[in-house]
Amino acid sequence: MGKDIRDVFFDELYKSAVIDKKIIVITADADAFGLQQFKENIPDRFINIGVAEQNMINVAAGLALRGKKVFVYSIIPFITMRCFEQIKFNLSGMNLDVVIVGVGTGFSFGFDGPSHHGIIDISIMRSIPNMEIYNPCDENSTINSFHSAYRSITPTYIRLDKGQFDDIYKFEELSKAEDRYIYNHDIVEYKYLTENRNSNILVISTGYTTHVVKEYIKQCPKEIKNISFIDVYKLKEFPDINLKNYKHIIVVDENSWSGGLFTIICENVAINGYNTRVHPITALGIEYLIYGDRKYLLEKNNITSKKIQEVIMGCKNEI
Amino acid sequence: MDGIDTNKRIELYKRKSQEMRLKCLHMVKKAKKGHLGGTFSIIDILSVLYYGQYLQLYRKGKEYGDCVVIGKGHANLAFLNIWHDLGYISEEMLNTYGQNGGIGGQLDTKMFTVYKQPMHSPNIVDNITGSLGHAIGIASGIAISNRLDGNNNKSLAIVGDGEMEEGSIWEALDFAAKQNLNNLLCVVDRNRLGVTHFLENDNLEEKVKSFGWEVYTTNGHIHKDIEYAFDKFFLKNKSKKPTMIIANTIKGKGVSFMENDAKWHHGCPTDDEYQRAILDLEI
Repeated sequence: MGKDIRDVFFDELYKSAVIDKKIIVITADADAFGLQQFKENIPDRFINIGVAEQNMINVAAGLALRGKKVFVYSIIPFITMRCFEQIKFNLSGMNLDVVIVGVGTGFSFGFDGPSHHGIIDISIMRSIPNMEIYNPCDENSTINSFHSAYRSITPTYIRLDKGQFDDIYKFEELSKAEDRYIYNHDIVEYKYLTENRNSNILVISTGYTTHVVKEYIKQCPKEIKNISFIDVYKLKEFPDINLKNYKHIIVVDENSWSGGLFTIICENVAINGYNTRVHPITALGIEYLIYGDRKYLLEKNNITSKKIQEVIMGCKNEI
Repeated sequence: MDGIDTNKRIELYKRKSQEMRLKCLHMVKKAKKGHLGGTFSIIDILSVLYYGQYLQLYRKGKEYGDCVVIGKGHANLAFLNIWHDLGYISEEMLNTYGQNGGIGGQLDTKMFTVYKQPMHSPNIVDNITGSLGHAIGIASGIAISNRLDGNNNKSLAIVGDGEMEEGSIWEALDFAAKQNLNNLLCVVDRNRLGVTHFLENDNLEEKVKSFGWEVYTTNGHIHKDIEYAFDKFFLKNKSKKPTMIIANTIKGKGVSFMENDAKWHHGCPTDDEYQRAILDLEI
């Protein structure tokens, strides 16, 4: 912890771009403090294309067709939904090496209202066949998301939050420092916040909600600490997490239940034929004309410690 | 085309255009489907572009040459027949037209990897098609890449005028002008007929000029005029702006009963219509 998560990402990008002349950044008039050094020191490979997301994706496609490694950046709803056809047809259709970096996961742009909420983007981006999705929750998972996307040769979508966050992943756990720049090392894509092999209840969360869950663990009753809690930040090609032994899986995600982590877990359980019930604690869907800070909006959507406690107790009583 | 005098060149364009129209007609009749209207409107332009040898698709020692990004992919028969005639693609690939798993109603670069071709797809065409409004943006991206790499490769977008109604086209026109992409050429096949309606786009020149482009209008069926327009971009371009050539054409050109009839955007002629079309097209 110490840096804004966006700056962590763009610092890492800048370090790579200094060495790798193929890296190009395009923004749709979106800014981040961490982008300053890129703009100042590598101006010929930085394009502010203006508020024109559809064209941004098409220009990125053209650059990628000539071997450039393109990072496009804007606010989540506009860089995913506004230009979905361009992403689906040109990036996915031609399997192009473009990294879509969206800022403003979940309700992080609460005050700007529903137009800015990132609560159905996982749903739609998941539907694109060759699109990998990373939803990091802290500095180290952000750095790893960057390097996974940088090494990838197919389209990738990275969701960035705003602000500073407590460390969930420890640097040593993820990979050794020098390994980060070497191809094909194993990257950790999920982490048990607490692991109890005898537990038959699992709470799984991603991105910001992992911090909601972490707060809950801090103050939850003792007997609950013996259940398992997991954060996962690679969402498309889902990591090999063993879900088999759980009777109940509780999914905490700011994305709407339809198409988000809840759906991902349900699909996993259904395909493998596990005898597991899956419970959503997720955004209810887009509710228009509601403004407020993230805490207020999470409460409105029932993504709270209280709700987590309620659902866990319900599961425990059933068992 | 050095060494060939103007008359012979124009004669070649004329002959090839009719020859390609006939080939497209036969293929549509055989497959029982296809987009003849837009194919016939663009064929004279493509004849001049390809038989006039304006493009350097390969450059010695380089991975890439000039690029062609296609917007109106439903005119794929015009492109494919010319490419086949020039030896860019194989007979085997061309013959898959209309078959399940073969070439469909839109141009798809994946076909180039399925069937081994004499030339690779990035050197003939860059994008997959079928979804409209993307070609100018993609060609702009390639033009920027060419500029960054310091090469002289040209970037071409070939679009229809119905497609010019897409919003993303206007985002791209604005961007390309602001970036001074003078290595970018956009060719518009203005046949003024969409799938169901006639378009009102008389002021297209004015609009695009106001965005900061060099704009030339030409008759898209008079080969000498088309050549004159291409010469301006390929041989005499001193402008800092991107260039657009608006070619006035007739949808279904060459077959009397197909001309300016929206019915022939997509469809297959009956046996009688097929015979009449052949009579119209045979020189």
